[in-house]
Amino acid sequence: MAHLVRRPVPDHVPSGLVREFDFFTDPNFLADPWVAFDALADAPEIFWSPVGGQGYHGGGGYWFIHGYDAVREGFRRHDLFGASFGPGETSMPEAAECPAGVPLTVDPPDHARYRALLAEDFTPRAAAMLESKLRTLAADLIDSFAQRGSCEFVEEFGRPFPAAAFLALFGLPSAEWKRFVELAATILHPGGKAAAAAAAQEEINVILADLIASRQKDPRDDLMSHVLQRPFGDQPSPPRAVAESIAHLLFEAGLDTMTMALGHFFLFLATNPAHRQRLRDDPGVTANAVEELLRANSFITLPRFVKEDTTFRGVFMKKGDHVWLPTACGSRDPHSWERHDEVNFDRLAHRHLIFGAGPHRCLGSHLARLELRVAIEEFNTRIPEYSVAANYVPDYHGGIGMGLDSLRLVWDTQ
Amino acid sequence: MKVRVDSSLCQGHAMCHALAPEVYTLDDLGFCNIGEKEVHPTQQAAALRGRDGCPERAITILDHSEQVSDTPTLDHRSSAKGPPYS
Repeated sequence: MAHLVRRPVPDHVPSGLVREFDFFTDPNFLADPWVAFDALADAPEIFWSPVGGQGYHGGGGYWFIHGYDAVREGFRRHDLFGASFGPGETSMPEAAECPAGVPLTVDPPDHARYRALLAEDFTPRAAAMLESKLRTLAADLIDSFAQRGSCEFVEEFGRPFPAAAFLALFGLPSAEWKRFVELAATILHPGGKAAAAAAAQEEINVILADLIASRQKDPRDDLMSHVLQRPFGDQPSPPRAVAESIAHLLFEAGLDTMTMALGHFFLFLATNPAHRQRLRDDPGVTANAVEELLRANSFITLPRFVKEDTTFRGVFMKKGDHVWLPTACGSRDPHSWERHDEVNFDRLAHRHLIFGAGPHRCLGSHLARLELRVAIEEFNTRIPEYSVAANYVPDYHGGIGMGLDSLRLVWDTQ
Repeated sequence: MKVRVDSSLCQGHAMCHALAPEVYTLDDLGFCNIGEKEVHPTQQAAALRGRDGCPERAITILDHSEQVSDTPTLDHRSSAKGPPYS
């Protein structure tokens, strides 16, 4: 059990802005994270929490910003808030020639040349080209448990589907998903097994380095081949270290986040039969439903660091202060959204903030939307009626990505 | 009615395109780079939804026709009362 880190409140933080909010391990938060996020609406727009965040930036002592306008502005003000992780705060290997985790960890103006390597492969059009492949992957996974009448959704769909999609994007055999799921879980959730995590990281390093070396020599029609053939600044192509940094980011960002999104979506659908029925009666509403479910389930809270002493929306912050931008507190802000806690498939929800805003807007957002829509459609076709198991209680974990550890679904099989 | 997309604000969310593909076209990198554009009367409601769906507030309505009911740019509540989509 992780212990709660409590730090003295720094002198520059007014006492009126101190409020404890631990969105990592506080049992009250984890009992119903959405209620906990929504309850902040009446707190000061920017407050300082002396607790929370262990295992991240040393834990404790950070600014927490909430409200649609404040969170949105926080994302857009890359001049004030840097997106780079501090040393040792990511499992991505530090390459001497390139920062880890580009382009997420590099701010403008440098950000643009990294992002330019990837943009064309992550447009809505590029995502759409993967649709039939994704549909087959989703259908195969669902078929593997449809006759059983039950599944542990996170384990049997939430993890494998994004892993198989990642492999398809990278031109690696989709059948390898089991190994990738294991590696991702060991790296991202080490749970004290540091040696195992290091070994898994080394295995991923080798797989991705081998892939990049092979695509450099023998380009194909896949993501890393495309990246390696694009100009990088004034160079004809990116150095291998840049390609490796990108590949690692996509591995870490693409797998776990999709697992969490799928868990939230299917918990909602399993417990709201009328909404499920609507999707079957009116399939044209599905794309809009995905936006509304993303809004209502904005489970990502992203870290930023104050670049220089500054005053942001009336609050003085010091260089190096740690700032959290909770997408839930923008997408569900009761002051901005009518009936913020209701899911309404007819709402114009597209301004939600789950993918952030500004230059670091989630690169994979269009692929994520497609994966979610395909998952809903293929699941509802094969297993139209389902619910959560009788004794199931949502078991949330907190942190940057707040999600379910398991989701037990049951249905009749005739 | 005319729309203007500020390409210095566009970050490629492509929500305008999702809501009104015939008005807001995307370039090869997924950005809406149309600058100013005249909107056909039958596409004006969709153009407004596209504006309201932009997380970067990069879209402005110009030459506003009186027949089209506008909503304040920052007000999600008005948007939420819009018609259902199909």
